[in-house]
Amino acid sequence: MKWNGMKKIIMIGLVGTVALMAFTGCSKKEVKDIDVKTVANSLLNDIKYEDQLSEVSYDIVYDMEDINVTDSAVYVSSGATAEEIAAIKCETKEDAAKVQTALEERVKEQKDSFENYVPKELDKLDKAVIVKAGNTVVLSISNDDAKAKEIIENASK
Amino acid sequence: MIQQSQRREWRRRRRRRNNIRVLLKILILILLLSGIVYGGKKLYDIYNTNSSKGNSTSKKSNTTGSANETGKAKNPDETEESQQPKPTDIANNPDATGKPNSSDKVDGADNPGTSDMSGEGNKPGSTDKSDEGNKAGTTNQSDEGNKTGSTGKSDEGNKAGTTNQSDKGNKTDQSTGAKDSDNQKGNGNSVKADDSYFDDAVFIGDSRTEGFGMYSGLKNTTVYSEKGVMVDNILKDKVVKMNGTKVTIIDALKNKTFGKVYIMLGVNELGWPYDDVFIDHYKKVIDAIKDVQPNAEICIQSIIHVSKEKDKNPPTYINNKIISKRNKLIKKMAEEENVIYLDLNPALTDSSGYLFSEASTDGVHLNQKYCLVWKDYLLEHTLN
Repeated sequence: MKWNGMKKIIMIGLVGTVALMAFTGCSKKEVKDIDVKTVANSLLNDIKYEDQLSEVSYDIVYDMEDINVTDSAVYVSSGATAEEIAAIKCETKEDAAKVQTALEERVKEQKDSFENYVPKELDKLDKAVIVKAGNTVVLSISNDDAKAKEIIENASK
Repeated sequence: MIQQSQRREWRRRRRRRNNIRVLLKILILILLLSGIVYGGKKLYDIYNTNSSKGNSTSKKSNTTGSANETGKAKNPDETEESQQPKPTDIANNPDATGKPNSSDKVDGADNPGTSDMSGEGNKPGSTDKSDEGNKAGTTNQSDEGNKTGSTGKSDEGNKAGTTNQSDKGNKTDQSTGAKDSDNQKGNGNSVKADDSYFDDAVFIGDSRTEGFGMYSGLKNTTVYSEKGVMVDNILKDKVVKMNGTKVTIIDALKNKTFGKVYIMLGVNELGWPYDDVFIDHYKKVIDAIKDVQPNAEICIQSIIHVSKEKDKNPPTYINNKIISKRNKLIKKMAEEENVIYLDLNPALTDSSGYLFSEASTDGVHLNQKYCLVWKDYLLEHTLN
């Protein structure tokens, strides 16, 4: 009898826990969305750049016509260097994945452009940091990829 | 004896079973509690997210309504404020345009004299102020045709006035022959056109034009540019992305009819030893563009000078003496090709003819503030 009671308790406990987890959709680990302005500002101010970066609209630089972007902060170089910052928040995770692809494509295109133009910029492009956290994607092209990763990691905590 | 040992064994087993039960109970309790806490926390988060999403949705609809809210096309003053200048070192990046053949030795390796530059961007006694002088001169002219044209740039009345004035002014230019004898401009307007002027424009060029495309904030115009592009490869290289594939600029031009074509090339070719080769190639580029855009007004922009620091430092072929020489040839070529030549240097250089030192970190590529100066200059010197 006692063992049967035990089994009942175990079953109830397990079912309760599983039900709660399933109900809240927490079977997967959730990642906190990054505040785009904050992370872009940190990347701009906490990393030393060779060129002066200026803020521009994301859709002037990237081809993201079919993506629903809810917030963004993009800083680009004058053309002297490949340095760049982008933090783009989307409505959905699917859109965030598209943004990630677009940013990867951007890095690739910049590599092609700089290869015969200012080859030393390839170092920065090779170390380009692209991080997707929740519905936000962050790109950093700089001389200090370790610092960039640290900033983005801190922003997503 | 056997029974006693059996009893002891049973007691031991019972104790062990009891211990296991207690442990299991504790484990289940912990599991239950953590489940409840975790679930509760997530429920709370979901509730928070939903409520904040509601707020952001209403915010978003406002943003869409005001079109330019999300950090694009700010007006120059706003942009200046939003710029966060970083400590920069011009000397850090001296070779940003180091594309030309380094073997090319031009006599211009010597530092240019100020007197040479005065022949072009800055005429004697005419620095930035001379440009304003021109504007003032045009103001009188414009007043005749458009009395309402004050300084307002965004209201409809002025917009219409500017259009009429452009037409009139351009006809005058053409009637005097060779698209403005001074070849300084298309149409020096006292009333600045607004950004919609660029609706039917296309900008073609190298990294400087690319920078202009991004920093000008113009979303209503077309920019076909590529870093390092030159007059000898611009017709061949596939640099424009269209529908997922790359095409040449000429092929891209075939897809849309433009009213104005602005071209700026030449800074990457400064190391070329033969001027005539450069000009021959440039002519071919213009002819190819004419073929695909027969009705467009074509404007060749001058090569913008470099900063003093860039001028004095290697690579030696990137200097204002050579740029001035090339600009004179470009201007002559524009006359021969019957297209407009527009010298941008009055707006972007100091009294010695150097690109303003604060305009660029590497002495070649313009920062956002000066790309907006460039844009304003084009709006003040409209084509047809």
